[in-house]
Amino acid sequence: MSDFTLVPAIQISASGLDAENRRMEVIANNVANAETTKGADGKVFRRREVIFASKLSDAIDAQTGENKGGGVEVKEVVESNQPGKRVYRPGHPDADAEGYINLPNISPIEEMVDMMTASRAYEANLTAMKTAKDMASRALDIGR
Amino acid sequence: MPKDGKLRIAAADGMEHAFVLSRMDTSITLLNKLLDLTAARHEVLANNLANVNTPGVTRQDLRFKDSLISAIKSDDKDAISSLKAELYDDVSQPFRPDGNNITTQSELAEMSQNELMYRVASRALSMKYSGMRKVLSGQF
Repeated sequence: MSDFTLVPAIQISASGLDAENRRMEVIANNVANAETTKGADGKVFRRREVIFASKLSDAIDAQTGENKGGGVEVKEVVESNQPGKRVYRPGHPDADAEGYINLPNISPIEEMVDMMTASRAYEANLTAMKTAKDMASRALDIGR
Repeated sequence: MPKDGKLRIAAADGMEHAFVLSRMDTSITLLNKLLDLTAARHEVLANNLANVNTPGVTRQDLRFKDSLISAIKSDDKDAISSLKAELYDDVSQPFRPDGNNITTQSELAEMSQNELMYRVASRALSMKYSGMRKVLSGQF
């Protein structure tokens, strides 16, 4: 049945939406913590990044006899090793002996650019999903 | 009862005609195949879009145009229905520094073109069936 072959396509687009959504969460968390000098582990907050990995499909495709891709997933969320800024702020409770504090290695501009990329990719996946849905509903109208 | 019986025979006769018609005509097989192929291609394009930000991913596509044309020329139902599309890695597009060569806009363009082909096939199939229905009901 032609309309059922579109279900995997919708799932693939959904995996794209999930991954971009997860990425957006991580970016939002970075922006929110741009000035956090004490993270959950007591140390200065570090910028987090998502690592995307492509997935294999669950099934062999009938039209090609091969395993087509099965979308994308967030493999892991890693902390960036980039050094953060050191700022002279002797009154700060987290200041060291020389009066400096370590700020997170987060640049709001960089996060904004990443957010735009994630947002565009999210829209593209949404369009793909809508197209698959339209195609499936057209298949249902055959013979009407 | 006799009237009902006659109707049933007529209906069975009509169904057989429709069946024979569909068996003789390669275009229904062809349109079904085209629906399957374009749906499969949509899946590949959707996968490209999902992986637009995954490092090291090469864009994939389905190739079936040439084999479909030769199957149509052969006018053989089995050749059309057993046709397999070829999944290939498309390296013709330039790669980004992260080893990925997928761009959102070209995937969306291919996708809308593919969707149009799907629409053409489903519309043509609809017209085929509605033509058959007209013949069976005797309304022209």
